[in-house]
Amino acid sequence: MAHLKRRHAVSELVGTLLMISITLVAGAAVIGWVNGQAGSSEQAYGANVAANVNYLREHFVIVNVQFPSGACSGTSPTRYCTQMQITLYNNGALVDSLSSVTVADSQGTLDVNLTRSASSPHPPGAFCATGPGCTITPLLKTATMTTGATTGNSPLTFTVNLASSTCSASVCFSTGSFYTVQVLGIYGYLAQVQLTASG
Amino acid sequence: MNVGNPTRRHRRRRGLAGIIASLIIFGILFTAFFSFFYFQSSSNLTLAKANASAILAQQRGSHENLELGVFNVTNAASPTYGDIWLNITNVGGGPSTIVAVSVTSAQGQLISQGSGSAYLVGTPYLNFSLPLAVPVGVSTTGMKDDIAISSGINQGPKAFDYLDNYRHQTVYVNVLTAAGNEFSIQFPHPLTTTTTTSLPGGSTVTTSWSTSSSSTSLTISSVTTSTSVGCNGQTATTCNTASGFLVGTNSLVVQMCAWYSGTSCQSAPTGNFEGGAVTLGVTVTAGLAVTPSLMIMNISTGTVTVPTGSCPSSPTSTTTTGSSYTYLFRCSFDVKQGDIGGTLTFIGYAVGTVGSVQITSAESTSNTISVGNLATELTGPLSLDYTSFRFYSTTNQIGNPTPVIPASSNKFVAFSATVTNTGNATITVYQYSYLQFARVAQEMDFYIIGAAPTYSSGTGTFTGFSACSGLPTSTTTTAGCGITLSIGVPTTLYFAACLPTNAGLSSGSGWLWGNNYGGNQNTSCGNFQYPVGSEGVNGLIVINFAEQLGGPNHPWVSFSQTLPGFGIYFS
Repeated sequence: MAHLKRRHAVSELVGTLLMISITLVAGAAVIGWVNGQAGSSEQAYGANVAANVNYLREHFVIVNVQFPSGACSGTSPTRYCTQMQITLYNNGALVDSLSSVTVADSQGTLDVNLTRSASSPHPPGAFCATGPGCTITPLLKTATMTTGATTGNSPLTFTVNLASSTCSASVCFSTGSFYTVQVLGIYGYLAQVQLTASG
Repeated sequence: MNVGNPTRRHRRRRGLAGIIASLIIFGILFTAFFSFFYFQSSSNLTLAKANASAILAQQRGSHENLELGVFNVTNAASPTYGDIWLNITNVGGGPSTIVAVSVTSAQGQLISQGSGSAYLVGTPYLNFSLPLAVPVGVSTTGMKDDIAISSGINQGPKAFDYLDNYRHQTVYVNVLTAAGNEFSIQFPHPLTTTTTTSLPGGSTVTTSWSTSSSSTSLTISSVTTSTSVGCNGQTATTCNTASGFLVGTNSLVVQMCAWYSGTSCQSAPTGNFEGGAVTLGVTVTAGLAVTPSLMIMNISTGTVTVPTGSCPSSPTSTTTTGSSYTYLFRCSFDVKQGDIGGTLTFIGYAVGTVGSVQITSAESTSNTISVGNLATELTGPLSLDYTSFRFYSTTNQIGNPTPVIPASSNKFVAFSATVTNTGNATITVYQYSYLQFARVAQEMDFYIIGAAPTYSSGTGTFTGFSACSGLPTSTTTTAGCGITLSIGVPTTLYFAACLPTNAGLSSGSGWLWGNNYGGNQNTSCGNFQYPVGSEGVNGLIVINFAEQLGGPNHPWVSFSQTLPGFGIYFS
């Protein structure tokens, strides 16, 4: 009886230790896994929320689009302009930057497509496909629009330059023609204006 | 005894593992899950805040509304075109913040010239620094003046040279707000007439007696007369629908006509009936034993006010032509000013004896006499095209159009306004037409008295009132110095205003404004202050055209329109 009791006591101790160890190891594994999953979920969720918040806080208006007379030549109906000035005002709640500026004509043809990633010059777009392409000043990736109306942020003017030396309706802005200008912010806000070119 | 011990020990071991497992679960809950839920909750809160802010900003932007007024003035230091004065009134639902001002051409070109940007935010291009908060001002009308800001845009070295290039063109002054809204106003302001009053044209009296009633002793039937019926001894070409009374077999035909003033059977001249007279004629063809009596029984309709009983009870005069007797009753009445469009109706009766029949009460009611709106009715608006009101002069001369601060030595200052008659009738403007100016929500506070248009521009003698014939005190002379506003032809009118320290135009003219129109303008010749409100003050301009001279009886026709931001800059 005493022998049996001693063996039984040893087995209980070992079993207890084993059970505790297994529990600790399994628990640690579960904790690690759960923490990892929670962290990745937090990261994904946080990124999603941040994107939404930035989108909600991003807002700007196109206050003016003009074709400077000095960059226009010819007489109507063959008066063409090689420059478009787009003035934006950041009335959002964050310092903003632009992702792209596009100009399309009345047929939907993408005439100018200036993006943030591309460096000057920007070839995409019917007006920019040939020759040295188009440029925009300041560059989208470097230009920032300040915020804070109470501290006095000012409108920012971007100038789209078409480098075509020989203008025609297919490569330059035509006065009297209808254009749609779309400006996309880096957080997804889109401002659009439609106008008839005059200059 | 030993049977129960293993069981207790076993329970103790399982309890220990359970405790550890519970700790692990709690650890998971408090580390991973709790932090995740907390992060999620705070993120949701941030998102909700951002969403609310976006909605709030959108609502604020949608409720924002600014009323702009803009006008140019000449700068005393640089008497050229250049300064634009901008008046901004927040009439929206919340406070606004002005962040930039710009000027664009009619073609959309930014023509304002700031430092590196066409959007002006401060000196030297503005005389104020942006951003500029504008409080709400719409909830109560009385606050409107208070919240209006009168901020000038100074002419910097190069700031507004564009006006020299664009002064004869339309430009737009734009105000950008922090909410991203842009409000624009055209300059020169496209003025539209807000109130148009019809001219009291020829008031024609073509009255005839058309209906009748009878006593039991009378048989009355309608008799249609022809042009043979005389009115005051003349062919009644305008009394062509008279009817009368047929009394038994012995015809007693009483024909009644009415016409304006003393010119028989003709339409009334263009003008107001005020103080005028209507002549009623009664023609009897035969059998008259007792002269008819004529009484005005009723005056009705419209705003016309005519004292009852102003016609005499017996004929004023009698004319006999064969067997026809014409009795005239000259009735005078006083149609008050403002009676334009009113009508008059007379009821009269004749008394006489034909044979054995005693005519006691043969009543008839006249046609309606229209007062006004029958001729030369102006239905279209009158516009002020280019209200570059400037003031000139020192002493009785339109001198160099350099702005002057009215001084005590000045007789008057003069203003000009280009007026275009866009109505459908020619308007004659006489010398005593005048302009009124009023600040918003205030009474008319100044009169600018019309002057002779004997000059067009530049240096010339300002004739003033005393040099014009036909002063308004006269009720018979025609007005002098009148000008005609033809339809669609812009005409520059010059107006003079006196200073409070001078008798000004009334001096020596013999015409006392106050005697004719009340008030004390005959000695003050205007208000007790500078001719117009200070710069930036919204004003209501009323042009009162005297369409015809008639002394105190002439009709006034008022055209009014609001000039936002109207004012004169006294520098």
